Amino acid sequence: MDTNNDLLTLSELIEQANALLERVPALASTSPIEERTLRYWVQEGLLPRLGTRGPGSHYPQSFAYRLVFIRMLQKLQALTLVHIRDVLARVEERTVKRVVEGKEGMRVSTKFDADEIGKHRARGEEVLMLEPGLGAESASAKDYLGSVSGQFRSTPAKSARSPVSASAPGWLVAWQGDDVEIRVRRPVSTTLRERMRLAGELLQSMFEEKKP
Amino acid sequence: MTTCIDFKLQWDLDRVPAGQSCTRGLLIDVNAGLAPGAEERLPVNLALVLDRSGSMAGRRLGAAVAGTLGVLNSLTESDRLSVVAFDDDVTSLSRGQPMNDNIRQQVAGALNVLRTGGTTDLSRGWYEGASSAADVLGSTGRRGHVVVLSDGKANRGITDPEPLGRHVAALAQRGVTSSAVGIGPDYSPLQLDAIAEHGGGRLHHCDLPSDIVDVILGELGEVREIAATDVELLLRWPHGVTLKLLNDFPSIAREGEVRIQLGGLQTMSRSRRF
Repeated sequence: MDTNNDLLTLSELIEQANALLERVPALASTSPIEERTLRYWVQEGLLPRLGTRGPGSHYPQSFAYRLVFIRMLQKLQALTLVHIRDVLARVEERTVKRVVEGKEGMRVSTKFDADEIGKHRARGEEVLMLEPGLGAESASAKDYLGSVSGQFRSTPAKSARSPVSASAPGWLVAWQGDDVEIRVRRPVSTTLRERMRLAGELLQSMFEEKKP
Repeated sequence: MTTCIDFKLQWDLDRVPAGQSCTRGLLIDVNAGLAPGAEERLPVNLALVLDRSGSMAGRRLGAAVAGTLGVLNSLTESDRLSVVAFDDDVTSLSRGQPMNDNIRQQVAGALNVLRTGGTTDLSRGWYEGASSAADVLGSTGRRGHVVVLSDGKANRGITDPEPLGRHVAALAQRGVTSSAVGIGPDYSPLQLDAIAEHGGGRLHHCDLPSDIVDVILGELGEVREIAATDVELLLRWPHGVTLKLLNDFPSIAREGEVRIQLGGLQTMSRSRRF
């Protein structure tokens, strides 16, 4: 690969990042990083905007590690872009490289733990400890919620107690209790849904009567 | 408004042996109060999030509705109330409007026809309530508080308590705290506990409608009596000392120092850490 004094073209950068991505076992099933992903992350401030744009743009090699690191924070630590931006501002490039290469661990903690920091330092490891407070300075409550709205979109029901998958197209979970779930094929009118509710409550009460 | 915050520090033993390691406990009492003559109560920005999923059928939903109606009647025109009902879908009954008789009647009417529905997307219900409170915070600067009323048992959306708690904590640090009320004798605390613990609030347990009314009004009283917001305690220690915090407050650690984020302090309340 022609690194042009350690600078990579856009396609070389993506290629190198995906080669690194493949070497992270926990991300084996993750989809590759694409050019549009890179553009989005630049737009969101996760990567600095470089002076040149278009096919002639060149990127430092460290960007490849940074791209994989962002993916790790997203997929393995479930951090939001707001949090990731703050982490990147505080973590040195050499730490990013070591984490991506698997030479250094990473942990998200919901509280400060001096004992754990001490144990890592005794082993000569740099500790990357992230707390939920990160990002507090960089976004209002409204902005924060806006940045994580995608994570709160409704997902298919987890329970699958009947042969019909809850996510099967055309089916609606019309009522669910502790022991009874009613699924009906769409379209479902308001009247029918109300009837299903009544039926569900009736069936649930029968189950509760049977309980010891 | 002028607020007085009083810190008291107390060691378990006041001597340290020379030439050997030892462990010492430090108790820090933080008391907050309003200065004489200051305005006594802040108007509230409250969001109530009601679970109307199938498992809430019968007395549970009735209790949650009764509690919410009780709160409606206790608010004044300076207060803002948001009400959200959720199952696998979310319905907003009120989005932080200033309270008046019209709003009161509209919300009460919508609550009285509320019926149980499908699955439980608790995280989305919390999100909608928090969004309404955040909108009011953005437009008025008034700190928000979300109370989730549910029997737990979330089975849609974010059901893992860890990421849910992280979002709740992030919002608490931005001025919108959260509490939870577990309804019914067999409520599941898994996600509710994460909301209360990381939201700077509490997890209450209620079986009866009257208990729910008391708990929500109690929360309301506490929110009204917040004397200081975003309180942060900075501890620094010399080389050779290791610090261990015996509490769950969010904190940011750096070399030789830790910032403990206490959040809001109520008047005459006491936060203890040892």
